[in-house]
Amino acid sequence: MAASPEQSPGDVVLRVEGLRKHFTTPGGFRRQPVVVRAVDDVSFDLARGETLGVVGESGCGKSTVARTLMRLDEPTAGRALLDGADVFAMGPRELRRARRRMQIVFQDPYASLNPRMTVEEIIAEPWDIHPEVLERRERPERVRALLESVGLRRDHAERYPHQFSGGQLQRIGVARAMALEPEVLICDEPVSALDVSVQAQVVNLLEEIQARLGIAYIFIAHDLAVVRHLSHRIAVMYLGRIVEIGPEAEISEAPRHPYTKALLSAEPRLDLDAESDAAPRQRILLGGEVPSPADPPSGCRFRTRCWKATELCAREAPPLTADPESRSRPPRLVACHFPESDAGS
Amino acid sequence: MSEAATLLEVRDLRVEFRSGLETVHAVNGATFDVRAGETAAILGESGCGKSVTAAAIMRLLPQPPARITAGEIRFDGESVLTMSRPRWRQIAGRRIGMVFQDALSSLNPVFSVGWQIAEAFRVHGEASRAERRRRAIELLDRVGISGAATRVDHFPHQFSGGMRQRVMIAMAVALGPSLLIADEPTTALDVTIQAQIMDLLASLRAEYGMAMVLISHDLGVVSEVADRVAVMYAGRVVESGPTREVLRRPSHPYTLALLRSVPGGKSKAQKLHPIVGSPPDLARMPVGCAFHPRCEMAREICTRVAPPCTVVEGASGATRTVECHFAAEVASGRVA
Amino acid sequence: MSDPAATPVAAAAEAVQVRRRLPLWRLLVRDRFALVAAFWLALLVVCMAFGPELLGKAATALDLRARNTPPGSLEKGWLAVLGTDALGRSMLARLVVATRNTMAVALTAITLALLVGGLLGMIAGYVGGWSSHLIMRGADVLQSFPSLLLAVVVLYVLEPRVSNLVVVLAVTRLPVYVRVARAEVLEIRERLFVQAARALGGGRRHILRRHIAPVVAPTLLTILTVDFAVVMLAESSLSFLGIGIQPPEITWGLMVAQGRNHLAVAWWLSFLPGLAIMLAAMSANVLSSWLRTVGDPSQRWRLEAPRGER
Repeated sequence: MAASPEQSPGDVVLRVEGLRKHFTTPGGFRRQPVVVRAVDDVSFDLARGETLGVVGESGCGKSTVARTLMRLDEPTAGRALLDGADVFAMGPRELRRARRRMQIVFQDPYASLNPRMTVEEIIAEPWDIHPEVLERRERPERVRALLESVGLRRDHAERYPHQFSGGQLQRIGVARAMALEPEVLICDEPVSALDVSVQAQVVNLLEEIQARLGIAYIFIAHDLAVVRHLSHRIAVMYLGRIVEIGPEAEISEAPRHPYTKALLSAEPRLDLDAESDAAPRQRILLGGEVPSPADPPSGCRFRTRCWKATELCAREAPPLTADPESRSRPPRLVACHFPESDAGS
Repeated sequence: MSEAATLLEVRDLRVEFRSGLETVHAVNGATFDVRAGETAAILGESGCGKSVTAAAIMRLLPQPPARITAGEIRFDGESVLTMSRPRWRQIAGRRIGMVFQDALSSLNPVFSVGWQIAEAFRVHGEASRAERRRRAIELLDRVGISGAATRVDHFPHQFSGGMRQRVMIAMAVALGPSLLIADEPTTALDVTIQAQIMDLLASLRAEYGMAMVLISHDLGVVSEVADRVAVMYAGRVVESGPTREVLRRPSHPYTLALLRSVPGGKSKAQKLHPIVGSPPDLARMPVGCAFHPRCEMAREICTRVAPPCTVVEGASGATRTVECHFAAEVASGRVA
Repeated sequence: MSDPAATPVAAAAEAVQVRRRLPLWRLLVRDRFALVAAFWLALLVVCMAFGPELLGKAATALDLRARNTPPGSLEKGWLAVLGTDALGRSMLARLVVATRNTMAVALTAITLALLVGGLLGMIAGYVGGWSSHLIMRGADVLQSFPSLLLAVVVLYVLEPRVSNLVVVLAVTRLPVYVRVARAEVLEIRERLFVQAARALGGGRRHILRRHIAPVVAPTLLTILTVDFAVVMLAESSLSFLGIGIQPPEITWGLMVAQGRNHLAVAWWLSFLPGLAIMLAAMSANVLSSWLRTVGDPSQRWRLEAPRGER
């Protein structure tokens, strides 16, 4: 895998600033309306050609980030600058044009393809919506070329989705997203629904496409191993906020935020080289469960499960600040009053 | 590892599902043993027959459409499949407990969790009403539910996913079974919760001296907790033996390919090595070895003859079984 | 995967389930019920097209000597094979001639109801907001008002012309289509493939046309075939009240109504047109469920599978 592309300000293709998405459940008789802060002040930059992995447990808001960036859900606040133009402020016509540059692959390949359409119709649908991209007579050939580029056969174009397996369907989903040649591809748990042996096919395909076309990925998953494998940088989310963001190597080798550390240690790992009979990996077992985003803890949201939490954590939410020991540029950011350090761990 | 007594024996189990149009061969001759006190894992991808096997052991298969066409399942020497209903009721729940993947649909939404845990004592005619409640609270406390005395009266929907799985585990171990069958117990849960549950299962196992059959698709989980593993593919156990041996030096191409397809810890620069194609259609099984259409080392014989089950001597002297014509070559790494 | 030796073994795994696609008519021939239904409906179309021209005279020719001849004999000529009515008119000829009016009224009415109701329902379901409220309350009002009363009032006020009759019948059936279409849309719009189309930039019209209408249409079509009989009978009630089709024009519904007076002596006067209504509705129903199967790619194989596999 290529090294993380050097970042300079001009290289940023997507800049997200202060993204918030609050869902309000309607109140009723003697019932207060409940505000669920699914995403609460999330900011990050995505450089051209890089993969930003987003990890976190269910309810941390990672899929909501994806849906709001695609404006499938309307954001409550914030800006998403795609080459300087704010996607969240766009009217319908501008947005339509912006869709060509930003696409999404969904988790469930069975549900994300219309079962009544042939593969050809599915992959050509983007051009029906954006007819200016490709002339009608060139479409059949391009559909087949795209099929080949995702590892399927040309004659699969005439088939229907139910004739394919999950892994093949996900390739078709990728082909559809690639039809408009986007610059940013959001992958919302694209391999979570697939079997282990098939996951690798899709992961490799995504890698190949990036190497060939230089697309930037936002890769959302709960499977740390896959995210670590694919990502240049990783953002760790907890209860609607980013708690740590930085280069993949720094984060997986020396996590600074206690939550990141716990997450990494909880991941079941296939450790065949080490004689781990003798020295079992140190595992941090977090107590309790993720609190409800409708009623998050005061101060640092992780403090209820954190072994380092003090009175300060309950009072004050730690801001995302640069890790002084970070060697990367931009540096790794951590939101913790008492981050782990190289010396301490 | 000392040779403990065999607790559960599955021999050449075959299960079919018949619909009007086709016959799906879900399990095609699965064979494995579970010894008292050990953790045995059944590892495989979706559709490999691992859950059907578990359901067959628990006599939970809906018949029809399912049909057990051959094979035998023996629990503590007694044949489960031919056992009378009253006899089976004495064993199910009391000596074999089961934990399912989907705790929400496995719990009855209209009864309190305490009532459901006490159900086990009630069915087996044990304890008075007050005693049952006391023991339910004790169990909830044991599986790590804080405030058990009040939580005992709560209903399943008032618990989170991880908590519900704890309730299920409490129900499964209520009567101190000697075997626990856990069918993907953590698949629906987040990693930090998964770690909690696996930890709980391990401590309960130690406390009760239970054996456990862990059914999972997760190589990481299996490698961390299982003493022995049976790898299933297309309804057959293609390789089984001590977990460490099987996963470190696989001798079936499928096991090897599976290991190479998951992202490893450190070797990030390495490309993943996926298995081509997808698992076979169980209604139209390939002739010969079921894995041959996806196997990189398949040869002509594999397309004709199903490989016999061979016993291989491992490095540490422990034996394992493999179903491959070229097991020795795979194990020695000559074909990787 | 018929010849494993010819293909590289590993590549064979990538194969996708294939089944030869058969042309529509072959599929129709394979399903006997659908075939019979199609024949019957084709016959009705022929009757509609040529009936009045061929048998128009016979249908009005009185023959007082052959009054109330029971069906089943050829003694009084082939026209009387299905019996004659109280004025000695041939039942066969009358049934054939009535096909055109019956179909014209019923088919236009339900097609109109389906198109307008389906469209309104889809708008109510997909657009939502005040337009949804307006449409649904309108449907509520229509449904809570007794439809026969509505028809009677409207047709008394307006002229009892065929076109008015059609409109009234269509309006009374409208709410069903609105409701069903809306319910289906509410479900489909949340499906992931609709979200995917939105993410591609597809507008409302694109999504309604490409993704929602193809799923809603077969359901509405099924309701239409059930409604077919209902509308024919509703038309007969109105005709019976004298505000529907005016004699000497005839419809099957009107024939049922007129025959009621003679039920004790000549059962066939009501029974035969009733049977015609039932057979037409049933054929339409069978054919629509066949169409539904054919139109669904994941179900079509049931018809394409060789006989042995079924």
